[in-house]
Amino acid sequence: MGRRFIVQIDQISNPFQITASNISIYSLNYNTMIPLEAFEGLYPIATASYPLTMTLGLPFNAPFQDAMQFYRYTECYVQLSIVIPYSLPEGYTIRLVFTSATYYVGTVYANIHKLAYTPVYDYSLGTSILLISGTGPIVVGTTVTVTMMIYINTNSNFRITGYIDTAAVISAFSSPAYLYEGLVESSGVAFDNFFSSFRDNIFGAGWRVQSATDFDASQVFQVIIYQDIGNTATSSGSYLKLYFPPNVQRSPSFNSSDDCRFQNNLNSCNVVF
Amino acid sequence: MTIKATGTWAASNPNAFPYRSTINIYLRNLLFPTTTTTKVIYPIYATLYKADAVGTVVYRRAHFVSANPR
Repeated sequence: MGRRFIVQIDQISNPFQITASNISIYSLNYNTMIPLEAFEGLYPIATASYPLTMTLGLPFNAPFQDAMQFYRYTECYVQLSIVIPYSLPEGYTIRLVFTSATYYVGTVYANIHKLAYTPVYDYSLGTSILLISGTGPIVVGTTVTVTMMIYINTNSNFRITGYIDTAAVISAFSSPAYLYEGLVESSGVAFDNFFSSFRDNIFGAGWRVQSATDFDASQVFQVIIYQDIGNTATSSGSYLKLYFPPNVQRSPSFNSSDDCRFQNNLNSCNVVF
Repeated sequence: MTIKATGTWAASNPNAFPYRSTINIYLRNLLFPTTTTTKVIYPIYATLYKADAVGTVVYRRAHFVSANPR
């Protein structure tokens, strides 16, 4: 009577599911199993969601500068990085919910660094929900990168909310909480209307280029500019900067006057890399 | 990659990107690598600079091309 005990419970295993229960406490003599006092079910205990750290960036980890931005009201590639805060066993599903943005079906690629597993993408067109399953186990600290084309349909922030839980829980999506939860917000800038299309002499204007393992002098990559901003938008001396991903290579023998041409005219371009 | 008109070209085309004219820029000796199995998406960002303005007037845009496995 009147004595105070502190019970410390540690080494609790992660249950890998959101669940709740109540702890009961009994006091009893050392030599009997008959409780002297019982506090049954009075102390609630529950697993809480782990926060997911999610960040949005540009593909190939390009820095946000100059034209390298997210653009609203047009196609836009983004790279979503999700840091897994605690190891996941096999059979879990990632659910991404888009607010004020939609993704393009067939453009999603999740890099989970698991060669033995092929992620399965479940596109729910019209609901802006994307499910990624079949990832296999994911160890703590892994950064899952999801690259996809999206369409930002707001002048303010768009949002991607991420959930990870068992396939059944994610499928039902009626739980008040999920094992891992996180969100990220960003915004797009307005684009200017001067960039028409690309044309590759192999595929035509199909937004495709010839893939190659070595430089091919017969390949022509054509950038088609149609300045539709205004009649005073450009001027004498106007010029263009193009930013390619780092894995696009130029030949050591690239010759500015020959390999870059306005309207296919020799000696029309000065190129600085 | 910054693309400017040479003096020769600029002499007859002072504004290299006139309003509502289609300008084709031909590029050679670029390599868009891919693997034998995976399609690679290449984002290409472009900035158009207006040269005669006080301060810097720029226009920005992004597009994407894909290199499919051969």
